[in-house]
Amino acid sequence: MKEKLIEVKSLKKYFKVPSGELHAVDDVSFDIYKGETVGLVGESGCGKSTIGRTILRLIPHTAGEVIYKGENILAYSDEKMRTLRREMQMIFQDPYSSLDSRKTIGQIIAEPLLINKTVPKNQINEVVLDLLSKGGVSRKLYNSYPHELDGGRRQRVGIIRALALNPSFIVCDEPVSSLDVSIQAQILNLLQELQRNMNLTYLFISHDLSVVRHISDRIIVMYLGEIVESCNANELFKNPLHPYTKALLSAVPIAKYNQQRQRIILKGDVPSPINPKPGCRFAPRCWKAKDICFNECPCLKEYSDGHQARCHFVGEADDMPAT
Amino acid sequence: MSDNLLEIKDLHIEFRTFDGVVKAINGMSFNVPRGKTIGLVGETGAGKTTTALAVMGLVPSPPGVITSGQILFEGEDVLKMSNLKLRNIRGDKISMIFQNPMTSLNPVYRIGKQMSDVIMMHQNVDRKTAEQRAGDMLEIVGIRRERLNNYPHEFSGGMKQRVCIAMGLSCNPQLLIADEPTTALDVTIQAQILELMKGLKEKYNTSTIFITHALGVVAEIADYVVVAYAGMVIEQGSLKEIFTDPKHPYTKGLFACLPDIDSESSGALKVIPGAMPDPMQLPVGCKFCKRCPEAMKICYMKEPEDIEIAEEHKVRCHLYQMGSKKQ
Repeated sequence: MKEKLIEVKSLKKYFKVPSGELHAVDDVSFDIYKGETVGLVGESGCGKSTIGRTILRLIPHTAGEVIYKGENILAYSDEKMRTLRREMQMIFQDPYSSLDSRKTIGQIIAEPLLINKTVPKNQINEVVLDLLSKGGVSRKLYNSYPHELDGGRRQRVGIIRALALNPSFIVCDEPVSSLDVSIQAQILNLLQELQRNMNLTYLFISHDLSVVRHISDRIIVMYLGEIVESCNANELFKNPLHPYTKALLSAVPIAKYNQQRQRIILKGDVPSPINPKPGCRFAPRCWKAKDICFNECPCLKEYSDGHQARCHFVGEADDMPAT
Repeated sequence: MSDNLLEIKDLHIEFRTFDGVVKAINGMSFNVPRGKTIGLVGETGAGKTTTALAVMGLVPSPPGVITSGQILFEGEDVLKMSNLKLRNIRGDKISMIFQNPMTSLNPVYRIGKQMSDVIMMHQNVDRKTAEQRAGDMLEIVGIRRERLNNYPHEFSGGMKQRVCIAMGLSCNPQLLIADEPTTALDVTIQAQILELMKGLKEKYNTSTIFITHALGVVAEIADYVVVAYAGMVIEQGSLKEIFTDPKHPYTKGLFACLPDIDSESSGALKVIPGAMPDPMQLPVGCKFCKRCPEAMKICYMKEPEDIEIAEEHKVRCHLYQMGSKKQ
């Protein structure tokens, strides 16, 4: 039996906005096991980043629990949380804004070590240099400033900083989205290598389905603050159950010549998450929607081993929309 | 008249900054045939956007200097045109859609005014007719015409991009330059926009330069592919040639380093080591030599020339020089 590292239970995050309540994350529950990578996919505004940030308590939650090592960390005092942060780190999307532009690379990586006093002061330099080589950054850049580095190297520094305190869990929030494909492959390989060597657990947030499939063991698909489907990575691509997942998979452009796949073009845009209407949140864009979908919210049900989906009509025939 | 609407010939552009000369475009050459879509691919710094701006006559100067080359639009050199003439062509015969729809619309004017301004300027019609036309264009891209009275912030990202496309097409341009038009959008919205652009291409027979770094998008929309690296074209050909039989080690590398959505493997990805060369200190020989797995001695010394490998397929690499065609 695999060991649970993190249990997210009925997590909710609402933001108050002038026109009501924005349901960014609505009653989301999932587990993360030790040593695995959980991919969190969805389009902009579906709440993926908010989940990552709420788990790490970078923003306060509205309701729910996050159980880490048997304790609800959302109830921790700030001070206790600060100590715990050593074990839980984050890699940000934009390597251009997540590094302090007035500090050198050496100072940036040394900062968490200095604050947490995990390493005696006279050894910090050594540790930083060691980390640099682990992350594939030349020692020569120790005294450089972030603006002197290209995007790929900057992202490496962001990763190294997250690793400085030997964490066990890392939230990767779109770590390769702003990088070119040739650099993206380098960073993905680095993340996988570090995971093996340091026994890390990742929550990998991304909108790029091929990247998520490549790196994840399990995938959670989100739509408007809710989980619509979750299962093993390969299963999701072979046998998607929810109409939104099907549409999402069919919309990914494939870099192969003349590869025809039946495409489901969704009508309209993602509706506003402010004061959401009752019923299934995907119903207004769904080609399968019937009356029940607009009135009754489907529950997340398990259909086969570890494969959950939130739809009234899972498994029904007539799977493709009439176009 | 030739079959090519646009011919870019040996274009060189540099930016003269206080830190030194940035050589952004180093001999870019390619053609855009009438009614076809060119997919211009390459990574950050390959010179895709600068090339597009040069075609529009919009390279900021200073610091940008076009040192040599020609851009022939319908046989006439854009680089030698007067500002007045350029202004008449821009938005009328050549128009451009930018990457970020959030910033390419003016937030303080209703989109009806913004769209009809363009039409009035080029078609010599009054405001009423122009608004009428703007409304028609909106409907073509799938937005109700009542929304002419809305401000940009009242639209979602995908809709704003559709407004930009409608505006770009409102004067029936012969050439449309789309600079990463779907990069900032979600995949389901991207699929909508690509369908729309494919439909419009058939309807209006517009030539398009579609700039992107996503090979998947190119496979969807392009007839020809131009691969740019460090300000020059390193390989070009028909979609089929480039996607089924890439020749240049860089093009091959680009395909290899994409995670395959249809594959169950999660083993290490192939990588292209290193990064794009610094445009202030370009290597002497082939610009790709330092990252190339197949680099030879000559690659560090001499720049390769274009070699025609097959019909509609050119590559710039020493591996294929002098008949030593290596498969």
